Amino acid sequence: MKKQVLYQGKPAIWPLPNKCDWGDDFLCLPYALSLKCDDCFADEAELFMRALAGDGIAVERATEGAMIRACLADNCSIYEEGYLLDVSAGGILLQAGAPAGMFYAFQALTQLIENSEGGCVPYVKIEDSPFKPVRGAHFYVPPRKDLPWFHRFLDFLAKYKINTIFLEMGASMQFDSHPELNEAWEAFCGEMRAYPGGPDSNHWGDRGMQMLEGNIKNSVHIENGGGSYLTKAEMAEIAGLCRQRHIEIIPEVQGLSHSYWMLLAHKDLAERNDDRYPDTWCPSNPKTYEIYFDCLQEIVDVLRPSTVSLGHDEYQWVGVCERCIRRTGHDIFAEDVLKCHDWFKERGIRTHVWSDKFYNLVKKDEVEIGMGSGGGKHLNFNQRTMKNELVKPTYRALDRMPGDLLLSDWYYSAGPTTQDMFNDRGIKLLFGNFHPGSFHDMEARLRRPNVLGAEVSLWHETSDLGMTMTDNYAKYLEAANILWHKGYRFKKCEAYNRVISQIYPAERDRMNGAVSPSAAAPEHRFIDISGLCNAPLRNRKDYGFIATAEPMPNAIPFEICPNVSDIERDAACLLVGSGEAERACVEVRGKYRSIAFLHSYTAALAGPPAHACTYSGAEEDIVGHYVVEYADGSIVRIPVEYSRTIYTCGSAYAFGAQRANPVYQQREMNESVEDLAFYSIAGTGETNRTVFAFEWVNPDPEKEILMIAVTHDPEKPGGIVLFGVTGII
Amino acid sequence: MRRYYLNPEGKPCLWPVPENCLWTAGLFDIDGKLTITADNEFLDEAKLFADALQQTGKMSLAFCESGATVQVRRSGASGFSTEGYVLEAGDDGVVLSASTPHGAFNGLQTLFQLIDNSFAGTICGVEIADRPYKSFRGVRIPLPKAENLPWFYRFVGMAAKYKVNRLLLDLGNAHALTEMLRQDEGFTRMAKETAAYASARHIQIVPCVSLPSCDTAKDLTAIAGAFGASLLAVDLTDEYAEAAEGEAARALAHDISALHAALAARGLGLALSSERLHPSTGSRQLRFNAGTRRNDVVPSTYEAIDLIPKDILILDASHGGSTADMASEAYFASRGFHTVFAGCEGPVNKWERRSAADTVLGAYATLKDACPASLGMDGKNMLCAMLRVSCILWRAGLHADHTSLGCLLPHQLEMEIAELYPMERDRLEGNAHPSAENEGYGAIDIRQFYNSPLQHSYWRVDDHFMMFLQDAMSLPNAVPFSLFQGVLDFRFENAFVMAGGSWNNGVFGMPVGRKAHSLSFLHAYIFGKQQFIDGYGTVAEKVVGQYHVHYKDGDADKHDIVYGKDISFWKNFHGANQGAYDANPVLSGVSDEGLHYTIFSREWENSRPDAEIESVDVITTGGMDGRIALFGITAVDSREVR
Repeated sequence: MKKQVLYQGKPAIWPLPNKCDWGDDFLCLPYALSLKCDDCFADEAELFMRALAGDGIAVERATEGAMIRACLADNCSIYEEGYLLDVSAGGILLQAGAPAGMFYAFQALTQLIENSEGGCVPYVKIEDSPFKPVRGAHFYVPPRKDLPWFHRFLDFLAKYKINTIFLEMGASMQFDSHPELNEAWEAFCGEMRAYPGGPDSNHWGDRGMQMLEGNIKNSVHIENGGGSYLTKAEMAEIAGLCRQRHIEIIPEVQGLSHSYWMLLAHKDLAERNDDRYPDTWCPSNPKTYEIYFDCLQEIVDVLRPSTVSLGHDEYQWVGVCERCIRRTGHDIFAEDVLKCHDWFKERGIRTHVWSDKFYNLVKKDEVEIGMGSGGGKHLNFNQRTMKNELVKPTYRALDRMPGDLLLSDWYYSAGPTTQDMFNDRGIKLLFGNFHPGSFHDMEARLRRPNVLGAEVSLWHETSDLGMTMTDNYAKYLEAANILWHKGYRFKKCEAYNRVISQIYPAERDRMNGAVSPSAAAPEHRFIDISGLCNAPLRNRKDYGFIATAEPMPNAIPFEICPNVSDIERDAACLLVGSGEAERACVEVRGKYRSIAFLHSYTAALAGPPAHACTYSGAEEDIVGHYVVEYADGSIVRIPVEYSRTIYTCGSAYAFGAQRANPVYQQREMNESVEDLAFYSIAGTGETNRTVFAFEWVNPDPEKEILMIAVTHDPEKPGGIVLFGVTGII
Repeated sequence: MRRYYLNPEGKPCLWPVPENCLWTAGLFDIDGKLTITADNEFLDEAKLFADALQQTGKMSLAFCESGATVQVRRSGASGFSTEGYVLEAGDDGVVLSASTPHGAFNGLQTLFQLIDNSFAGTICGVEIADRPYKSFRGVRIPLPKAENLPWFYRFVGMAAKYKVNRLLLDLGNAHALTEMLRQDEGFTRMAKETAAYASARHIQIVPCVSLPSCDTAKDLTAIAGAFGASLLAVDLTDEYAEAAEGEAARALAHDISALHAALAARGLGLALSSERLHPSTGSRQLRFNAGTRRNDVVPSTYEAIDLIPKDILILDASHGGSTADMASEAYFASRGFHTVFAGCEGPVNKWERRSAADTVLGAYATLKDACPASLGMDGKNMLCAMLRVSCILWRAGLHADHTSLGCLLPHQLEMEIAELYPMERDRLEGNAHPSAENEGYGAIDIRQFYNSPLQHSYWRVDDHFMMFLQDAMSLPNAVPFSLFQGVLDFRFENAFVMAGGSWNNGVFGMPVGRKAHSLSFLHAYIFGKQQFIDGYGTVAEKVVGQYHVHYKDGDADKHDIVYGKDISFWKNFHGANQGAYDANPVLSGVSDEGLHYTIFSREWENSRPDAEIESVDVITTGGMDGRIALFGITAVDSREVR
């Protein structure tokens, strides 16, 4: 099976370099590579050698005649993260003006070597530097059990030139000055995992945890630290790994709002003292800041950040306690931020906050209810008291903010000029919770001078489990390219997505420390399901495209409808559920290292919510099972999980089943024109169809498999469509 | 403060709004330099475009033979109007097509704005097919004094940028002017240079002269020659007071006809003000003679309209004002004349209907005095008027927004004017306020000096009920102010500082406690009778107060607060600038009661930026009968300020 990932017929370097001139010839690399490196780049060279060693390529340090030379650039136009990479007959020359630049040169070279066929690297001259200085990711402190995975995850981020991570701290780091916070956090998380409906039970009328006070509080985040906390040594190791990889950690130490982590053990500091699980502190109580600054100091000592985030999003209990009731929301919010800002400024640290409380999205003559109004005056309906409660406005706090504040603008979908409101005040920002799909005019808005970049958030556990609850592997890769490659254009995203689709399965497996049998063993055998087929390709969904589409490069091969001439009428796939049989059996009779299922689900389910607790409700995504029966009579039940191993066919490339791999893809662009008052805006929509293959790794490859039963949960609304089954020998 | 100017959809302001404009997803990154190729006949326009871009300091433009990122081409396609163009900007650059140099010039003005109003060297993708609604898009301005010529040239360049194509130049008495042309070589040279400068920008100069008698018509040829004009606007000053009853109109028609014939023989056209040719202003009337202390009879002349040649262009001044004829254009059209609306401040009343007639060729805005210090002295603010007029004459189908203060453009477009006005004013006057150069703002806490609530129980509800301000949002590109600090209940709590009247003589000692490059004051004039500063001499600028700036070392500085220049009555056109021409609109909108309001900020550069400012006083001087409402003070400084 071909392993190299190509973009426009050349080895893919991701994110795409900004200037790249390919030559016609090739440099054939020797079995053992030699590297001569200026001393200032020794650390970067070490990581490079380690990365290639992981690919089975040995690199030795040399002083003369080295194949690869990494030099300090004498070209002053190469700035902090920029680099030059030149592959020619004379060898490989890397130049950078700073360690970060050389680090990225090595990442590009690593990919160039990985994706070049037969050890021959095409001649190329790359002159590269990033489009945006902040290319970020946001997540919680990882659970201790997942630290090895997390360390590899950092390699993944760095390889694709992500250079900033927001690490939500909570009480997930050991606090020596306030151990009671860690203890209370662990106890709370344990309690919440057992809470009926979990911590995110927040439906109207539901008396779950979120509604205890009648209002949704949001952002409980019991996955932070896996519901526990890491030691300072563990956190320091993470910080060290990040520094080596030129990743800046911005710890998010949630203050004012979402401060469960601090208030669970200090309920006397809460804005509402009648709340069992308070999440908002009283900003008029000096003791609040004593504890907060104690914690901040410990975090700063361990992580040594240059920027710290205060959180401050979704602040809902604004000035309701006796101490605060006579203060305006604007003043409370501004003075709280300024107090923390002063503390950081004394230590040479920049302050970051989320931006939502600086907007006034309340329309004239309208009464807003709920959080959508940002910092505007609005009402919250209290389910417990059955009364509307006024949430004081905070938006004028923006006019008192210092120019060195850094914001995460995550209400960018509220209008096309959200970033400009901050630029009017000289404030820099990045787009938080970056989601290109919901982003009107993204390419132009990223070019505003006060927009430093963006960050992709993960609101699940920081682990492979959490990552595959959403599309985050692919999203990081997508964002990396948008924020690095100045030539990114949405209309080219089909070509980009083809690359992402090939990169992420391999990287996912690498992070999990597992090589899938299909990648290691090229031999396969098609398992015939034609006798079971009961539905044409154009059935519940339009799968007709797979009859003619080319499979994705590097995909596991499948035998698709071998005897079908009319996709409208001939039975070409096996449909289980959806009104058909709820069970079918595929005869296998053979020994396989893994079995790959090319399948799809006929109904679009909600899938795991982006903000729901990772630990709750995962069973709701199981739509059926593949039941493997061995010759010895033993049985293995493989859950078919919506959005992880199976997906409906309406997704775009990688953005679907996260534990599966896209095999067939079709994309149609739809153009539209929106007529506004004085001009029109052209828009594009797209229709995507993707069919994924899920590879199940056989835990007993020496045992013969007799058959595999496909079962569907009759409670689920759709059906499993099986197009092909391939066994990896 | 940002350096780019956007419409509400986040796209660069294009003014006047193009006829057909489709914003696409394309983007072109300039990366500091552009290249251009232009067909030979458009080279002059391309060079002007390159010069203008160079002057912005944002980028340079190099000419090249092929492969340029900006291509200006002649199009042989049918359907192009003389001034029309097609502009397509995308990922690969810009292609501009036009059939005439004037069309190319207009397209390049749009492209200039597309670049200059955009952010960080980016050209947004757009497809524009554009052409003017009206062919006569003018601005009327007095001949500048020699010392104001640099300003005047900047003004002409700005007018051309907004696709104005007629410059009506007030030259005074034709005879005296002719003498000057004969005797003063410098003046002649200046006239020719002015004409050439305007002509290169596709602006035709229309000399506006007064003529005491038809005998001096020969003077007009020299004037037209000096300014390269093909049309002259003539004001015949003879009132025919001695004429017998009913003869004045005949005498006026005779003189006009003779003048017309004399000009026509030299290939020149004639434009006349409608004032004496329309019944509303040309009927028999009495005029008080201060010398004789008696009323003089001014005989009726309007009947002359039926006796003069039909190819005379009527400058329709009868469309508005106290003697407005709401169908003046129809009056003249029914008699076979073409008209332009004269002295417009925006759309004339019933614009949609009245402008639709083919006989209405366009309109012009009027600036009374052509010198920088008088830029805003029109009261209705000439610069805003010019922006409005250029837009209504270019873009067909705009609806006028009729307000108690006059006719405005639709709200969205007024908001764009509010952004463009301060930028163009500062460019015209060669000023850059510190807030335009710095990004650090520090709101000064003045809450302990608040002495007035937004609503007083004894205030007259119509004029002084400012509760709506509590939710007012700043306009784009405005200096930020911290407003209503600490105010929870706007009905009862004091929310701003009021100085003047019987209230107090001022408010003293508002602490600043910091250094600053400049101080900006958000203020408005309240109470008293609203007074419009207008260029026709009704009300002169008046000093209504002072800001005293006290430094920590004991030194002090004073800034006069001049009504009409630095401060304006709060009730005002929303969005745009009326009356406070050195100030910038910050809060603007329409109150629940339907009142249009604009609160301006005035920025004073600190003469001692390295000295700590201890405090500020606001003092009233009683020049008018109102009071000063001070809503906020912001120091403009380094990024570290608060």
